[in-house]
Amino acid sequence: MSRIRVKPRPAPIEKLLALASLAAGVGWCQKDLADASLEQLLDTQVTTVSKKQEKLARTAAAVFVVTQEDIQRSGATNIPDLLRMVPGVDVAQIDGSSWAISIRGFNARYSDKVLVLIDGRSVHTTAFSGIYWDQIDLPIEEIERIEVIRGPGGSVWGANAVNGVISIITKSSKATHGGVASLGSGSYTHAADSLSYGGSAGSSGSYRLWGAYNNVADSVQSDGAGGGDGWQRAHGGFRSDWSIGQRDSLTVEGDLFYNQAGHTTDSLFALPGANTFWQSQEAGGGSILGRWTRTSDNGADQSLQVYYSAYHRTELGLPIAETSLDFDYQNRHRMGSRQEVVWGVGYRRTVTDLSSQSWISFSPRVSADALYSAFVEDEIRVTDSLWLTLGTKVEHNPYTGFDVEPSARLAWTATPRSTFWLSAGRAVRQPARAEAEIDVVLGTVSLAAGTPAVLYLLGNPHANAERMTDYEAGYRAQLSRNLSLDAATFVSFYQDLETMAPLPPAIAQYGSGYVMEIPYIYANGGKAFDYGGELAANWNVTRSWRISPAYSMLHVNFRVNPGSEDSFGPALALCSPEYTWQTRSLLNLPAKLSFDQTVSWTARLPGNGIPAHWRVDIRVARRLGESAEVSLVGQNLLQPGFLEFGGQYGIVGTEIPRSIFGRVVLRF
Amino acid sequence: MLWAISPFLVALALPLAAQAPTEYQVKAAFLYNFAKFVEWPVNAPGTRFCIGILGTDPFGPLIDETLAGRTLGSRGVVVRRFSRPEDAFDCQIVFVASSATPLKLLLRRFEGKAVLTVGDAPAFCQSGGIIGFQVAERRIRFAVNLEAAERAQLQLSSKLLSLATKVWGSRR
Repeated sequence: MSRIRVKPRPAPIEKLLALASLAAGVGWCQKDLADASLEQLLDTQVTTVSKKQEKLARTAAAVFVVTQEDIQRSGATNIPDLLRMVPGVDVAQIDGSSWAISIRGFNARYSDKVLVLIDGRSVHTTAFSGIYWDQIDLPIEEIERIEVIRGPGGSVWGANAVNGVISIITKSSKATHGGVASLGSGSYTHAADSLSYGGSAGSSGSYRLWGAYNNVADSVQSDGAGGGDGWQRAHGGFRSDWSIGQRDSLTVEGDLFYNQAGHTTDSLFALPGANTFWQSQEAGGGSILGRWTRTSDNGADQSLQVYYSAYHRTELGLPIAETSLDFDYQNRHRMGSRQEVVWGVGYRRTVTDLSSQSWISFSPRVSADALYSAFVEDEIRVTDSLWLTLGTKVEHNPYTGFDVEPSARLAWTATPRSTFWLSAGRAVRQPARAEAEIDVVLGTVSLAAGTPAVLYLLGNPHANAERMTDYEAGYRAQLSRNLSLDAATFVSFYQDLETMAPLPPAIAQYGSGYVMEIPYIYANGGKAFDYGGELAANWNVTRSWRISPAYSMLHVNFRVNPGSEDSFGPALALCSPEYTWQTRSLLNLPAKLSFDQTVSWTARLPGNGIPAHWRVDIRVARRLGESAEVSLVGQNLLQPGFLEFGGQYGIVGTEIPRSIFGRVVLRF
Repeated sequence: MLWAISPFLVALALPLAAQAPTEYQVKAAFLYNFAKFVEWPVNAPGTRFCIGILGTDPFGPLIDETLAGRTLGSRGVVVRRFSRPEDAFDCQIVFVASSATPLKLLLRRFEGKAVLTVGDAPAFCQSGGIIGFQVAERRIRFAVNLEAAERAQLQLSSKLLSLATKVWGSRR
């Protein structure tokens, strides 16, 4: 009978190796445990259901956690590729460094209905109300897990979490003593390298320093022409975690990055005869964040978080600079024997500087916006198996004044292994600066009789916030020791969705000739009624083989308000697929090998003419000794290349190529 | 497409266990192990060694797998489940699930019976159980109530007592 491998005492490096070996799948055989001596059993580390996991069981929302094992075995080299496995999250790559990512519809490059947080810091750009995924990317080795909540997170996180929240959590420096070098290179991603080193700081603290370099090659456009969309990124940062006394803990982290990229661009809305040309892009910035948490004896806790972030970006010739300073205080405590109340207040000041070019301007150029927010949430244990959570958030923003976002959630733990839940809530998306203050030329076109015409788009300082009311129901269960299931359905009503309303054209003098001006203005002329659902399961087929299927469905019924002549809205609203299906298979093999695959099918995107497609990714990995692993990843293996989203907002879409990528990870 | 068939082919190979053991996998191993350090009265009934589970079973089939074919002394080990304490009196070890309430009353029913009561409810030993599990820093620990063991006419070896985190009612 093979010897028991007793886990060593928790010195940092051994802990890391233990974690690594867990991820790679070497571990215990049940029969061996019965042969262990008492001393050996006492020394065995176990996995237990944490308080957080118990809380997860009675969470009345559609939650998906991308775990450390999922991250290690996905073969992904960036955050967007990691998000592909989450049901309900729509990930579509536009070109090498830009993505359209959303939850439950309305996908676009500046998809504005999802809140993205990194360790509690919001990484959203107020200029265009979207996420620059190339600016926020982290090395895979830095990420502990990603928690995705689908549906309005309004009550706790606030505005712009209309369709969901993606919360990226980095590894605590307490768990990462020692060094990790991860070097990868392939046919499309020429480099994805990271190096980190961590250790103790004093007697009660720890730190980690890390750096990363990425280099992605150019792809091609759908007509075979070069994409010019390759990019490079240098990124570095630190994290430190401290225990102060019995009750306090402090985390301080920061990062700096610099990107250089390129895009093939055309005018903002592709018009017949538009020429394309190549343009460079660069971005640089950084952030620093501190969070102090105090736990009291009765389980109450409070936390104060402060962060400052800044970036400068030049894209399509437009320089953008943005800085944010944010304060956030949260307090959780029990009230009586049946209630737990969380409340918080926050203040964020964002300054954006958008320089004018010949074709785009913002007035005013520099804008300082203050966002005030307060929330309260009460979790009530109605009976031992019925939990009611009532909450609301109130915010004040400079464009639309006060917004109130209430929500009610009910969770019924019908059995110790299953939960039914219901929720209803209201969420709001406040306008981006662009919608209020932009003046941009969309393109020029020749009308009949050779008259030139200029189309342009104006911001509307009276733009309203988009509003949404949402009703959801779900079921989460551990059906047997080897099968778990998570299902969620939703019905959402959207109002005041952003559209572009035509204004009367005018003839203007231009030099010695005349030009027709065709203006559009941002308006809130759209409504939508969406419904759908997601189903995800985990099936441990054997002790070394897990299959995770996921399915999502979304029906969007978008209408412009009666009397509105907007023509762009419907097309923009139809850029998410109606159905997606995927299966991930994680298989541990003898000889320290692992073999993982993802097969996915995405329905067509009616709004931009992308057909339905399959995608297959495969990863093979082998551990070498205790501290190294090599892996080979093949992505998009079914076809030489395909367009996943097409172009948008001036960027011409390029194809995702079939590619192969090899990686070595060393721990020292 | 070979990639589609391949996982099915290799799944036929010997599986490796995929994860660190769960809490209940280790507790199941403990139950079997305790038996080696406890002496039951000579006239204890049965030709088989019975490990019983009282209340909602937190182990599931893994405990049956772990102990399949095992012996203690010359007796084969069998796992049985009960919902009433009186049905479990013929077992040598009874694991009292934390769902079984009221705990003190239930444990009082076992007094005088030669049954090693084991559980993981909070304050299990203080409520009259003989061995109580705790989890500390992701490892399983146990405490022993020696007085309850003596009332059950069980002899616990000093080795077992030395490994316990706490012993109530130490020998005079």
